[in-house]
Amino acid sequence: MAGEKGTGIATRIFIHFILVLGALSMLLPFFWMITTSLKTYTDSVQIPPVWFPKHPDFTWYPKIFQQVPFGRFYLNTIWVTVGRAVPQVIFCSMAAYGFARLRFPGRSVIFICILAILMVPSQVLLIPQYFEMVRFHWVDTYKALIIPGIFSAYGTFLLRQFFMTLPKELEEAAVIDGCNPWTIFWRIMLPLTVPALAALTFFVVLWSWNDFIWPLVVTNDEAMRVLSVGINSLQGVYTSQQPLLMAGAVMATIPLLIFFIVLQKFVIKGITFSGIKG
Amino acid sequence: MMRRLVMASLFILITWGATACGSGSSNADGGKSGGKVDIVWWFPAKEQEATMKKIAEDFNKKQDHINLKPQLNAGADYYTKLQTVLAAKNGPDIMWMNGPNFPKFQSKGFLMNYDQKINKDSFSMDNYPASLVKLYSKDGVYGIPKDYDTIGLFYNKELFDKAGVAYPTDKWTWDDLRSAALKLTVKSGKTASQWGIAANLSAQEVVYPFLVENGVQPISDDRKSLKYDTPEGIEAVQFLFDLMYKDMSSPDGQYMTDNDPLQLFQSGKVAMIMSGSWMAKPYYDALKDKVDVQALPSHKKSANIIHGVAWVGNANAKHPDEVWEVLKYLGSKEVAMLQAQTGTVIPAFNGTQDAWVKAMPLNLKIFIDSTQIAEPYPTAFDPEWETPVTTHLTNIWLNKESPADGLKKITEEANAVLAATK
Amino acid sequence: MSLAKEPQLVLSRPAVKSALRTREMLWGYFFIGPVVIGLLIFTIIPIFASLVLSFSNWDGSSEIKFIGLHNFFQMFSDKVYIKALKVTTFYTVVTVPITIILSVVVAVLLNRKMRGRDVYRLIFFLPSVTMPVAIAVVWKWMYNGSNGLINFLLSTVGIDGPNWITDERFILMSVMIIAVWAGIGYNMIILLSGLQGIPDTYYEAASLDGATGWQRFVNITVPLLTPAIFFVMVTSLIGAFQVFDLVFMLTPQATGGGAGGVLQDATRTAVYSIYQNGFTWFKIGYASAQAWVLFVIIFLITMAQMYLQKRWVHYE
Repeated sequence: MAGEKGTGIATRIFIHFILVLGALSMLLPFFWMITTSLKTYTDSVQIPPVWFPKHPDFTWYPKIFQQVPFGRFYLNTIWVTVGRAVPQVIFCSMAAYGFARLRFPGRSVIFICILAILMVPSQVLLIPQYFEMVRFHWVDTYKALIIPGIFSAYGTFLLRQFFMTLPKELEEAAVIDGCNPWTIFWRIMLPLTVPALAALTFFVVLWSWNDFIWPLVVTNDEAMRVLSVGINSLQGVYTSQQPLLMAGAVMATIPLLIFFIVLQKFVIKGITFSGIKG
Repeated sequence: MMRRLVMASLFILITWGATACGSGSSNADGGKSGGKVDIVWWFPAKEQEATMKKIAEDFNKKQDHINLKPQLNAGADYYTKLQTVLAAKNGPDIMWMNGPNFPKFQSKGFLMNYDQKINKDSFSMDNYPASLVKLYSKDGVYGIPKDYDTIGLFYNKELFDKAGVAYPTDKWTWDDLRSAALKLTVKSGKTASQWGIAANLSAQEVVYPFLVENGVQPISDDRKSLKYDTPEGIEAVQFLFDLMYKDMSSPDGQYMTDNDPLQLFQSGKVAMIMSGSWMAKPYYDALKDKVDVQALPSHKKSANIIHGVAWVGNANAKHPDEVWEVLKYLGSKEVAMLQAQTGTVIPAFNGTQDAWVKAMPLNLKIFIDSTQIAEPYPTAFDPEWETPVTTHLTNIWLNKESPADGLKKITEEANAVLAATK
Repeated sequence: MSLAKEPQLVLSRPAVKSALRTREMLWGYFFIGPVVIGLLIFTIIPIFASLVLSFSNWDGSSEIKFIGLHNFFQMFSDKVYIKALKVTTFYTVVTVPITIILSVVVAVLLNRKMRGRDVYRLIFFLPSVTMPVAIAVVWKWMYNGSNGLINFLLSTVGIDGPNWITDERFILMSVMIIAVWAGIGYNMIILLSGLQGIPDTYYEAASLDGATGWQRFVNITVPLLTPAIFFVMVTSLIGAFQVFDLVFMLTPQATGGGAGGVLQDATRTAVYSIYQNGFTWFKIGYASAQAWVLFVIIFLITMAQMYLQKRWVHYE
């Protein structure tokens, strides 16, 4: 990795200036989310907007727990997210390894078919996919929330790209040592793709956590609701209370942020580890 | 092998989904629990959830063969979800329906016609405003009216006092509105810091009421044509246009796109706004005793627009008799009273509205009185007819088309769509 | 494991060689099996269903009538959809390259050892976790023509800023700026993991050979990052062609039956049109047909990318 020693002080200041500017613009919506969750209703509908509520209103947070079973939504969301993420990362890395490293008839055709899945707008698939859930009798079950979300063309494509970059010598040596493809995959290749696995894990977690339209359509019972759907249900049909909505959003987002920070730390360790090995 | 699999799956899907296989409604397992019939009941309004749950509880205590299950569903995405589940022959037994969406769902055969049952039980539809019953009828009655809304002129008393302008009365005409709006506008430099009125682009709350007050029907009785490009129609829209672009007593269309006019009113930047009865509570929450409401100012005549929500039944419901039994209960006076007390909606059952009027210290009675002069919110059986209406109204509000040109285009394009409907 | 032990001894014998091939083939199917079967059931079958529907006039009701290629012919004279395809293409051509270039720059900057690196990474990813409603509200305020942040900043240097989201000449550009802004974080994550996956040994070897920082960047970092860049390119392009949420959020919605007018004409993308036809008007058959035309366009472009990658993407 290139260090900072080679760059002049002017360049460094410039780089920081640009980064700070970009960072500020990205912090702003998050900041708005937090302050709005502390505004009184009157403050929340002001034009021009109130940025720093003078009399913070902390009642919106407890209000959410009175109005909806928020704890239950949390558990559902965690369960759905874990249920999707763990098998997805395993299956996608397997498939990616297969497409990147093994030879078998139909490899490129099947791979292109998988890529093609990404190209169909999901809006037209909603109704046929819902049909399937009805036929499987999966409506209002965790099966509907979890199982269709496990198989990912995106994840397969992402990891394949990373397997393609690994040096061939590693495998050849392993073959000579008498390893079968599973051992090679599990013992040699996977540890080398930890950064990519972490990236995919994070995306899967992010998407499952925030997935809205699918959980909305396949569940009806309040006990089956996930956070995104639960927060959406706090909106009224005619008018909505932004502070209540934002309080829900803040509570839903914080676990994701913690997860991101932890994962990042873990990834950095993973690299130094694989770096020694490679 | 791949091809055979694909063909097989295709075949299965088509026979599954696309044909009327008449399989189960509601909850996938057909719906019986403990010898009782499950009736699933959907609504999207969070603010009414507590009332709906209470209604279900009462009903479940009253009888022993039906288990009514209320489910709050989907909020703003309610109709998207409803369409998806009904297309799959699934979905709730009883659902919340609004006027513009009713024709879409009815024309697909998703909803149950209740004429026979109404006749058999001599169930009286006279308990509800006639225009609401009409809103949910095609070749018979499909919906039991739940609640309704009409439009009023909300105003900020503090701003009126400051400008020394008398509060609106029920005798106000368009001209009174116009001169008051001018007096209430405070200019600072080239832009205003306070406007007399927000002539916001809302067909239901602003454009249609002004059209009907000038004698223009929003849609013909057979719902097959409209005529907005008459001198009366143009006069009405020109009046609103002039408030924005001539008098400048209202923020213009561009400004109201950037800044939500409802929020402008709630933050005291605007002295008057025409809004539906459902806004009474949020306005009161934001402005407290500074806000009050008056009947719309009149022109050729006094008029208003009425719209309401109804309960409709799933055409594929497994237990249509039990569904009807619940619907009758939902249409009863008892349920109407329960809804009125919460102050969120005006119940449709005649004579139960007093509780709603008393829920807030505002002149809410005008919303009830307005039903006498109100025309129903226009709907038609091809939802696409509204596209030219919103398209050209938006262009007029943004000053991209003149009121006369825009209304002419609306009339031409909407009539082309309407002529093609069955 | 036992068989693989003696490959050198037996490789010359064709029968064993083909046995090895069969073995590799079976392993290959074993590895891809779960994903392929899962996608087949939950995605590919529904995709074929939508293909079938594109030849029908299905409107959600029980009757389904097949009308051949009628939907596709109708599209040729559908000015709204043709305009939407043009808007989508323009959007893609502008946002994708800019997003990728900026993402690479940010990823490379944040891969260096520098102060506050972890905090920057977190912040650049914030738009991806922030509730979309909050993003929309804040950007709408920044874009506000009369009291927005951007026009305020412009006015300090004497520029009279435009109405960013209420003028049909500017609204698409405003949407594209947000797209780039929000896209950097996503791509950065992928590119960073690509950068981190480059073994240090390469850099060490290059340092021993006396390569400068820039030489190492050009000769090691860039080539080894190309597979990740290729991935980002393909997926960003697909994503850009399918843009919907952002447009839906930012285009003013008129009450009573969806948005309208010049602003919507300026920002209506292909998927927006599909959504409108499918969910607002119940024309599910026609919406499916529109989706398939969009699919073919994306497919052809992606295939061209796959073909061209041989020239620049560096795989091991």
